[in-house]
This record gives sequence, structure tokens and C-alpha cells, in this order.
Amino acid sequence: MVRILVPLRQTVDANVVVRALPDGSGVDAQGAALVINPFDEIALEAALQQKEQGRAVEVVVASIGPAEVERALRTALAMGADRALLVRTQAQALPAAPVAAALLAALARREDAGLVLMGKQAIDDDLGMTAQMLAARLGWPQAMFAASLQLEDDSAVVVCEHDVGTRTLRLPLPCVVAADLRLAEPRFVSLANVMKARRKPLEVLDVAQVAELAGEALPAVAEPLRLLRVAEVRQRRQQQMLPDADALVRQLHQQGLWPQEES
Amino acid sequence: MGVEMAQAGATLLVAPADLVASVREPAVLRREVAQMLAAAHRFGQPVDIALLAGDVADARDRAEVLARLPGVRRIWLLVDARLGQWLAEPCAAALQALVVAEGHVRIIGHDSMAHRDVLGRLAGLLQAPALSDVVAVEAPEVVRRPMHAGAIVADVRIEALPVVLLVRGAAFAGAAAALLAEADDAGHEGHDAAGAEIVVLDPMPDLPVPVKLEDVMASGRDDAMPDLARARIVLGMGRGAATEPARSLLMQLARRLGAAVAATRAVVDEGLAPGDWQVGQTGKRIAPQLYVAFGISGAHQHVAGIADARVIVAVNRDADAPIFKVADFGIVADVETVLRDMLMQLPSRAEDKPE
Repeated sequence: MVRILVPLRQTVDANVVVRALPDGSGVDAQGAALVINPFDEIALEAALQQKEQGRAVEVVVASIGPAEVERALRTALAMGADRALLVRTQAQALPAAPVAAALLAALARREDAGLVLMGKQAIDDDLGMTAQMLAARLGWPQAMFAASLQLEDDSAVVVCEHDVGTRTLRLPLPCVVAADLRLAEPRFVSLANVMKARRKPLEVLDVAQVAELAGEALPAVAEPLRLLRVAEVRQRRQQQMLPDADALVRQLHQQGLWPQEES
Repeated sequence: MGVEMAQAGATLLVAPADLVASVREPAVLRREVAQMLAAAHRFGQPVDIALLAGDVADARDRAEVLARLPGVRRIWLLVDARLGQWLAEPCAAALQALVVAEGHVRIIGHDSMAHRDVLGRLAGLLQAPALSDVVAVEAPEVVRRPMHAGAIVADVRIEALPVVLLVRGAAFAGAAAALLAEADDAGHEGHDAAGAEIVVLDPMPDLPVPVKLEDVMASGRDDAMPDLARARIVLGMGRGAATEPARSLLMQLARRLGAAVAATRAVVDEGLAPGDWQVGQTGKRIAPQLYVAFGISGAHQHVAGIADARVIVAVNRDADAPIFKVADFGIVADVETVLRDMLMQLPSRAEDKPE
């Protein structure tokens, strides 16, 4: 039976509409509620279900970031993860995706994971690249946009969303699976489990230690992409209210967006 | 190494995955490649195209379609039976061999799920940074992309090469149209432009195929319905339009308008529409001429997927629904009534049978 590693990231709550800092240097997340990235939460739920069904031996969660990230890991432990790893960074900013992939690869090797299950994207930067980079670094096969997962003795059968329709893949273990929205419905956390989670093991590592541990070379350029400036997007729309469908059809006619009478 | 110096080097554009039937149409293939090409030209470096295919005849057919697009240096045919299914492991390995041999420093793809899968893995193999959903190239080293479900737009400086960039096709549609017109003019005037050189990558490296494709399921979209990503008119189905009788009326209106149907996450989650109908932050981002949101409240995650539509119309019974704030035209009314009235307003056609 496999050990499942679930890398997770802490993000601003999906219901918060973030603002740009006045100087455009970044996003103002001050005071916003921080949660487990929703896609990672789905991945964690799917991992926990595998363990409950007797198809995984242990679920280990891992996150990279400053000390505050410990909160997300404690929430994951309260959901049911067995133990947590925190790769602590000095900076507030999270590492670039290639660096994160290298660190996660080191953890996956150290933990002898048979499956890495993670979200397909983080809802803050909306990048959606880390799972594939991690799979490539490990030399493991990958299944992106997973909608269902079935673990067998030495393989995983994954139904993946695709541009049109779905594809079912059979992957040998170990492999990397990236969760899409419909893989699982995350459970609620009970207060009793929050209390219990306080006693579960949470190991803190530093970046250099992790890289060295598994002999993973970190990318030469730590910050290959630099955020120059950000701005809020303002939708400029007419917001013209119309009384009924007749008025709408007249407008669409004028715009050439309604079929003309055939003559 | 200075950033300026590092920006030199050719760009490789990866042609769209041809798993979708419509991409096999020459006009669609040409238009989508032109969109990526418009982005690629902004870097001011030579551009090659990589075409992945399962057999050589298919690859040559598609290469011929693309050969006369302006500003393409070379078209590389990556042909192997193991590449035809667009599985990430062999496709990324084949592209890696080409990029390493030819020294491409920018790899440009389409922001589709197929390219996220394959080119994301390629970035990992190259240990290169990658950016999805690029909507503008501001300078050879600066690109623009949205974050936080489109609430924020960010300018990002590329400080290491190679880099993988996935571009949102619709954002480059204007420049792409100009490229296509240029190609057509040259054709009509009989300028027998040399066109791009077509080269088969040989030898093909060893391609791993650890994953077995066991099943492919087509979408729940009927054949007559246009591709969501490419439709001129899209009707959006929210909770308020996903159940009968509104649903049938909406589907009927879509057929009559030749429109595609999109759905919100809530509708897809409830199993009322297939997953590939979903539009939004984590679904598809579409850019039709007209988007009509029926019974959609307008969560910002959904709005992120429709922001590029030319005209947005919202129909909702709730006057306070946030969707009206991002609409050009709004009607506060019962969705079913509006659908019936719109169907009545359609010009009659001889083949239409009475209800």
C-alpha cells in the first residue's frame, strides 16, 4: 500500500475579492482569511478517502512557505492527515514554481511516496504548472485535471477532464495526480478533530536541508519570473437595463448579433 | 548574464492538440496558430512551429496549411505513433529533444488543457519557468497575465530562459486576423513566397509511454453545437436555467442561433451539464461576440471566464445579481419568459416545425 503525499498551499479565501496595493507592487491580502487552496483541499479529501478505503497506508501533507503556513497544515491534520511537513522559507513570498517543484520532489523521495496528489492550480496566481513540473522532475507519470481516482495494487486509474470530454488513464505507481473540482467534496472539520490535530506530528525543515537531503539541485535562478506591477481589472460595461426580450432583440439586431429575416 | 543579452534566441510555437475534431479543419488550425504566432512575433526573434502527429501524412497535411503564414522560419514535424494521443510523457520528451537540439529559448503554446498537460511537463524537464494564460506581450521580456480569477492583472518580467508561455488565443485575435490577411494577400497576388521550411525531426529520441489511455469520452455536446472555445454566440446556463422547462428552451434557442452552451460551476457540480461546459476561473475562458447569461448570479469566478466577450447580456429574476454589473444589457425578468419571447422573435424558417 502506498503513502500519499499531498502538497498544499495557503491562499486567500476564494470569496475575497483582492485589491492591488496602491503602488502596484503586489496584491493586498492584509486581513483576508487564509485557507488551504481549494484544489489542494479537494486533493487532500481524495487522499483521505483512499486511506479510509484501505488503499493507502498514510497521508502526509506538506507546504512550503513562512511560519504562518503552519495554520493550513494544522487544518489539514484536523481533516485527517497523519502528519505534516513544513519547508520554512525566510521570505514571505512563496518560491517560484520550478523551485517548489524541486523541493516537493525531494520530499516525495524522502517520504518514499507512491502517489503525489495535489490541486491542479492555486487560486491566487492561477498558474497551474507545479504538478506537471514535479512529475517531470521525479520522472513519474502524471494525470492532470483528475475527476475520479481509483487506486489499485500497482497502478492508478484516473478519469481526467479534457478540452472536450474526458480521458481515462492508467498510470503505474509512483505517479502524480492533479485534482480538478469534481474529484472529491472536502469534509467539514469538527472541533474535536481540531483539538486532536494539535498533537499530530508537524516537522519543520528549512529549504537548504530539504534540497541537500535528496540531492536535488535547486534551479540556478531562484526567481525566474519577477512580478513587476499589478493592477485591478475594471470591467467597463454599459450596464443598460432593458424592459423585455423585444428590446434586447432590437439591440442585438443593431449589433449584428441576431439572425436577419431571410428574404 | 544581462537580461537583454539573454532574450536572443528562437521561439518555438507548439501547434494545437488535434484531438478535437474542429482543430482538424484547416481554417481553425490556421487561425489558432496565427493567434500564437501574433504573440510569438512580439518577441522579435525567429519563429519555428512544432507539429506533433501520429503519422507523417497527417503531419504533412497540417504543415502545408501553416507553411504560408508570415514570419515562420521552419516547421518541425515530430512524428511517432506514440505522439498521436497527446499523452504528456512522450510528447514532452519529443519536444524536449527538439528544444535542446535547436536551442529554442521560448516555447509558446495555447492555454488549453492539452497544452497545460504537455508543456507544463516540458517546463519541468527543461527546469524552466512557465506562465499560463498570457494575454499580452508588453516587451520582449515582459508579459501580462491575470491572477486571482481575473480580478488582478500582473506584468511579469522573464528573468531566465528558456521559458514556457501559454497564451490566451482570443487576446491575440486582432493581430492574428492581420497575419491571416497578409498570408491571403500574398497568395492572391501570386507571390510564390518560399514559405516555411518543413523538416522532419530525425532521429526521434526514445519516447517513454508509461501511461495507458484506456478510454476517451466525447463531451455531452451534440455534433451540431459549435465548440465552446470557438463559438460566435454562447448562451450561459446558470442554476436559474438548468432545470425544465427553461433548460429545453435554452437548448432550443442555442440550436436556432448556432450558439454553444456554457454552464456555471454550480450547474456542472449538480450534474446538470458535463464538465467541459464549465466556464470560469477553473474552466474555460471564452471570447465570443455575444454571451447571454441566463439565470447566472455572476460569481467572480464565473465572470473571469467571460470577460473577453464583446457583448454580455444578463437575464435574471434577481435585480441585485452581481452579473448585471458586468453586463452590457440586462433584463430583470423570469428566465423562462425571456427565452420564450426570444424564440418568438427569431425569423421563421421553412424547415421549422410548430411546437
